Amino acid sequence: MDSVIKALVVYFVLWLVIRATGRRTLGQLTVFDFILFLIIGGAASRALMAQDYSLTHAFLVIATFVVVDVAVSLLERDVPQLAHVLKGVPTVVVENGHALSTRLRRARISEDDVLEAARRAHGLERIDEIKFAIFEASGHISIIPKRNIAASENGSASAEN
Amino acid sequence: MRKRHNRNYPVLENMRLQNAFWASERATWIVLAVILLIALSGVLAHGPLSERTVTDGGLSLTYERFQRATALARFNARILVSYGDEASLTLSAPFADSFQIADIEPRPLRSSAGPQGLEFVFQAPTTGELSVVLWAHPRSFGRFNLSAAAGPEGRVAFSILVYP
Repeated sequence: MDSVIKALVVYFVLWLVIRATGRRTLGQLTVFDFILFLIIGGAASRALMAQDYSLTHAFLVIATFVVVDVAVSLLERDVPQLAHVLKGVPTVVVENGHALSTRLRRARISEDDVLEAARRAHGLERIDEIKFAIFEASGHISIIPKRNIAASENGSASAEN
Repeated sequence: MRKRHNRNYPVLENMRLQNAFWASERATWIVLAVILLIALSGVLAHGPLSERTVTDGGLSLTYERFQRATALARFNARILVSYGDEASLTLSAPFADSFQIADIEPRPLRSSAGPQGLEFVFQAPTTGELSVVLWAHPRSFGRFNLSAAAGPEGRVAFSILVYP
């Protein structure tokens, strides 16, 4: 019984802590973030397995995590409001070439992060070339370039073809 | 721009919810920081507020009043030996039930377990005070009311809160 309860508590605490670190960490893992998550995983697994390395205990812990994860995903599918709470909602951070500084600050992302995403996705150089930048619930930044830039991109792509 | 202004294009926003997320994120950071400060103080075991000494007659026991389940904790009993060449330390029966003794220094000459608990008999030192260090880990979590005795004169009662 304690195997299941421990796993449930650890699942909830991990979810809370990872949500508290914000989407920034989820979407843009730096090397340090990666190490941090490894340490969190190691600490959690030690707490879960403490003094009981039996196959039964390991199976119960894994089964609990899988069942809870599937249950949460089913809930997210059937109750969209809950999905918004559990996964988060997308937020526009650049609109018509203007960075929405309050939102960027509160989301703990910088204009440089947005520009990096814009360079990667569309080869854009400046904020004013971006029509919309959206900070997604997954933690990634989606870039929608202004129409004339998008059209010229398509033009050059078809010329290459 | 108003913070709570929702955009419907290119994505459907819910800024009320998003602002609540940001607020809860900040609240969680504060809670985690407070937990760290509490941990540094020793309230979550292994720190200055955790260590406590109780004394009665010829027995003085230093222990951690906050401990963690299965984590090793140190108990130090100082026993004043006024006569004889042996000294005894008795730990109450609940101690034997709730704690697993990992090590004890110095080694006792003999030990016994009975309804009154665990009794250890040591060789008395020449200086008159015997210092016994005992390492034990709690088997489970909860509050444990325990007692220790050194002969008929020194008897201390102490309570330990063990975190999961």
